[in-house]
Amino acid sequence: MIDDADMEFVLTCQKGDSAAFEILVERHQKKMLNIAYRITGNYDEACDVTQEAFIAAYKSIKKFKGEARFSTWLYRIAINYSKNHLKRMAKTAGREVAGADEPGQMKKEAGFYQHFRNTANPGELVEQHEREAYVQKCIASLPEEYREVLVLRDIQGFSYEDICHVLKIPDGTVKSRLSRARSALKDCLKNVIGDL
Amino acid sequence: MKNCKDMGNKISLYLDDVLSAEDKRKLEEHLKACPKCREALADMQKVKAMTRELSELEPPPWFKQKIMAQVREEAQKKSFTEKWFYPLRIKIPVQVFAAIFIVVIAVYVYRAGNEQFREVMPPVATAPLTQEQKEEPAAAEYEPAEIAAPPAYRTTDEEKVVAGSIISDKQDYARQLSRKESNADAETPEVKSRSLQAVMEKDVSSAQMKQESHIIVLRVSDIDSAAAHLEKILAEYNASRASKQSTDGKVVFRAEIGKENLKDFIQKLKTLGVIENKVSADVDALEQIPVVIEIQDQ
Repeated sequence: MIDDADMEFVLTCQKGDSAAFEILVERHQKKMLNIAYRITGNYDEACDVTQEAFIAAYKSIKKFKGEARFSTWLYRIAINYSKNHLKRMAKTAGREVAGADEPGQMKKEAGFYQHFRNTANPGELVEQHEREAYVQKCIASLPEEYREVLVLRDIQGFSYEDICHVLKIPDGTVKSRLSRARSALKDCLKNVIGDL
Repeated sequence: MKNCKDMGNKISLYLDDVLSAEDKRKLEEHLKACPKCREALADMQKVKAMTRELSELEPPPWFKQKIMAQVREEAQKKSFTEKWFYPLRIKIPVQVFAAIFIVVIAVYVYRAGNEQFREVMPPVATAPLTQEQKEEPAAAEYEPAEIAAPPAYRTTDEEKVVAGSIISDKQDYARQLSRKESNADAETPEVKSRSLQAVMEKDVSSAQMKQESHIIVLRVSDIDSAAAHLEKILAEYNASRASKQSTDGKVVFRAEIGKENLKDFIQKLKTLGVIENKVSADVDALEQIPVVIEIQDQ
């Protein structure tokens, strides 16, 4: 059995105590939301996807056997729901699949506002926000398979081993995809920003 | 490290410090000699830093509460189905109601079936109660012991064999029962239904016999000698199913006499004493006429 801090609450939840699931939501909601956001590129949609992913996790929590960490299992659900969401959106007419927030556009999102409030220099903030928006746009322009490894490794800081478990792909594939993803992101940013 | 194209993958792994010692050494040697790859490495480091610096978004207010509200909704749905349909829970009223419903239906069907059964059954014969009927309960009283040990069955003094074919009522009944009992396990449903049918037929014919028997009262001066003579006469007329019972002050014979011999038989009886023809049934339909002869004191 893998050492997993969530396991106690997972077991309680599997016995039918839904209150224990609140602890798990508390622990993982932020990471789930950020993964969904970096893949979908839209905050509101990421919120919806995260909720759906949590509900799906709750419904099938009895199927979780503890072969991997609960968080790994949970993030895999988030990624799958995010990808499914993108596919649904791609089918919807007039929707730009890679439509991340436009650079410079001050999106009224809780995360951004909070970030602004915590930073001293407004000029720096605008510059940082713009840079972040460029990065997000370029991430959103990457193929899905590159995007997910990049999000997990460079944004969320997962180990290669964890990425293998979450995405269920071999270590070599993770390495090669990540290399290509970084290279593609570098090219995109050079095109958008100029000199890095 | 033959060319810069191979460096792409290696630089990415170098950034994460997951290259083998050998590959790392070779890459570092190459980087010293290749400004293009050094620039690629620097760009890659910047890109990695930019992604790492991306702000973490905060969930909106009440995000957890929204999720938990949906989770509780799901839990209620689940507990509802579990409460009502999960088979291992005892406290489920559905099973109790279902069981009660089945019992009520079963009782109703059983009763309805009984009524229908009564409708198709023939009406019970309302023949006058004969002595044989009166004595049946007494016979039933000693049945179990007789059935338990059929070979040890003892005939009473009053029950004597009066002809080769004569068997006392009690013996006959006990034998039938013991035979039934010994064959009960081996009987197929078909055999059982046949034997049931036979019993029913026997009951019906017995009722008919009671209705159609000649009941003759023979008044004599000496009951014992008259009874002895009557036994001889019965044997003479090849009476079948003959039996004899002694009760208070009288001896009762039951037998079946051939239709053609009945008149002669009655004439013979007149030699023994005075005849009172109590009941004279319509016997035209029968070949063997059931006769009950009561020998009484004058």
